[in-house]
Amino acid sequence: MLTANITNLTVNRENIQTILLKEVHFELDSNFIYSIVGKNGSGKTTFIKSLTGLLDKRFYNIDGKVIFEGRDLLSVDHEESRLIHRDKIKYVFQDARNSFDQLKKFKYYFGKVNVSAREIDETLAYFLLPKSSELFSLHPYEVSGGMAQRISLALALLAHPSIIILDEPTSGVDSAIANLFLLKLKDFVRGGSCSVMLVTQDLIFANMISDKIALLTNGKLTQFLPPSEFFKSHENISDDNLINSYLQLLV
Amino acid sequence: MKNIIEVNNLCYSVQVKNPTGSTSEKVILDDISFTLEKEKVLGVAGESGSGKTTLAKVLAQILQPTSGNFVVYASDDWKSRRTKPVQILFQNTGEILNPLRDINDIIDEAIKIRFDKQEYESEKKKILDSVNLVENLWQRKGFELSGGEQQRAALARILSVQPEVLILDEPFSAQDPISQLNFLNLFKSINKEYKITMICISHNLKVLRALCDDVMVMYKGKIVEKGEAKNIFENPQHPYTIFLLRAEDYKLKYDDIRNEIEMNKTNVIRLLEANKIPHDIKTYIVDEDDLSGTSVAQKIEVVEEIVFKTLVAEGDKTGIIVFCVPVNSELNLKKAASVSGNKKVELIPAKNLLTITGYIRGGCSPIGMKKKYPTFIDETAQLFDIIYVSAGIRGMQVGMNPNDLLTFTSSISADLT
Repeated sequence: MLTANITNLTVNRENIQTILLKEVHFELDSNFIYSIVGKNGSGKTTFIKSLTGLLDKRFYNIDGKVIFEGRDLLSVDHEESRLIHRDKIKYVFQDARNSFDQLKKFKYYFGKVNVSAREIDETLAYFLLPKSSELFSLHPYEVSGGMAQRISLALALLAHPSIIILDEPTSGVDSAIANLFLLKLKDFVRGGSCSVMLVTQDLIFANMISDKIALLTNGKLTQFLPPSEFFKSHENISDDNLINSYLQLLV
Repeated sequence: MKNIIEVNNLCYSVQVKNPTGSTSEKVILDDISFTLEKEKVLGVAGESGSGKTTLAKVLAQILQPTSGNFVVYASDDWKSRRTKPVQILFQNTGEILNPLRDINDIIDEAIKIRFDKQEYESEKKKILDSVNLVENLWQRKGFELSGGEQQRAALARILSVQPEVLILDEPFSAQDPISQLNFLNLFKSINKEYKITMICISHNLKVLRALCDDVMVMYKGKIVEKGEAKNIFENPQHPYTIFLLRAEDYKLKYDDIRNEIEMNKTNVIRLLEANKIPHDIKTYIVDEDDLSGTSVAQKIEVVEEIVFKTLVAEGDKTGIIVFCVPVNSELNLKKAASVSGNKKVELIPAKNLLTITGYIRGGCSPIGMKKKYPTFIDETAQLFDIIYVSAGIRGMQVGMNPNDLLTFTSSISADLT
């Protein structure tokens, strides 16, 4: 459903060009959850933003194509990009609370999704959130970080997108909530022609949720492999001490 | 090895202002007792809100306990020192380290408390080496260090005052597995090298297992399980410990999660909040084998007379009726029949409770039932300022003024026992 062929992603800072990604090629298929793991600073967030042209073009330069529904996401115009982000590809960012406008009540955000009040209430109930009658009158700054994260994922799901992309879904939330995300996302990809991509440094989570995992290290993405093969892959273990440390912590 | 800390029945509570303007007491630490042997590493596990950090602050004498006490068997010269024997390495070291001072300066200041000029250069080197802070970083200022380096610098600063007990508050949060492993090994070596007793607070059970000799699990201000780390993780006894372990492996089922999160907000509590009725929530650990009201009263530590059980009966004329009576007395079915206008009433079988009320046995509340049924509350309720009824789930009771309960549930006060 999405094919990415990125030959080169560079960033320009004070006239110094740094290469962030090189030769990243992969395909997302329906009904799968893909995880990309990598240590702090390996460029995970930049990577997911680059896929749909969310990076600031004044600083970032990207060569390649990301094909989704026959269109190249890297060359669509602003309006088309806006529609894709509204309906088809939804992001759940790490700092969910700050991804909302603090002065707009949640009513505004839920008003923008085109679903029945009943579906909204069912989704809120699933995520153990207050009922819409209560939640809609709250501002983003009035909810906890963990709640904002749940609201953000609820909103993404209500849009019935083709792809949900999540940045570090387990950071800053209790592991019980992370469990909730895991269950719901697995449900989501089972339910239709859709897939999930997430980036995380939580290898236990990646292991439990993913159909396929790849490692992002030194600007390169390894091949996507099923978790059991991924953690055995010699290339991953010798290349990156993230996997090594994880395996040692498990002992 | 002898004990360095003994904690006896420690409690800590704060006054919270309710929306109505009245204040109520919120218990953060509830009857904490434990001992810690010198040079051991104790792990404290639990999720946010369990009281872990408050316990650390009490032990470090930042907060005064509300009741109970603790003893730190420190060497005598602490009395003459300006620093305290128990020190905390806080979670947000970046905010604690002065961003505009160099590390050299920060460490010097602390070392000078104890050492002469001749000694302190070598002592400083020893400490900074032991936290693996390389020499070219000593001249840097706080803000010029990365998160991990800041944590090392803050640790060095604490070691400089030679505490007897070092408390680490969530030292592994926001770290990737690489730094987790690094710090794990660092703490182990510091424990050995400085013969320092440690308490490590973390929600990450895997690292606690790797670091600690003993572990205690905290839940809503109480210690629910403690013992040898290996034992606790291989053979957990308390349901909450099992919950935490499964949560960490991402193996929870939906119902497990809902029960845990909804614990703080049942429908009953929501209704009371929405109607601005002042109330007091008390939680307790559920024993599946003993759901009796008297044991609930004991667990929430109030007298039995003010804890009311909710019984559901069927009358021959009126159908379903609800009765609330103190847990230490029985419903008199004759009186129940006469006040409710029936010839005869009978308690409904427990298996029908859920379909009729929406509640399960041990968690049946007169508030927020599926349908509104005629409700009667024993007249002895009126003798008290506060009575407790179930908050709608096992493990939680809610207290309120009996008149508020009567009005809110449109109940009738009557002699039922």
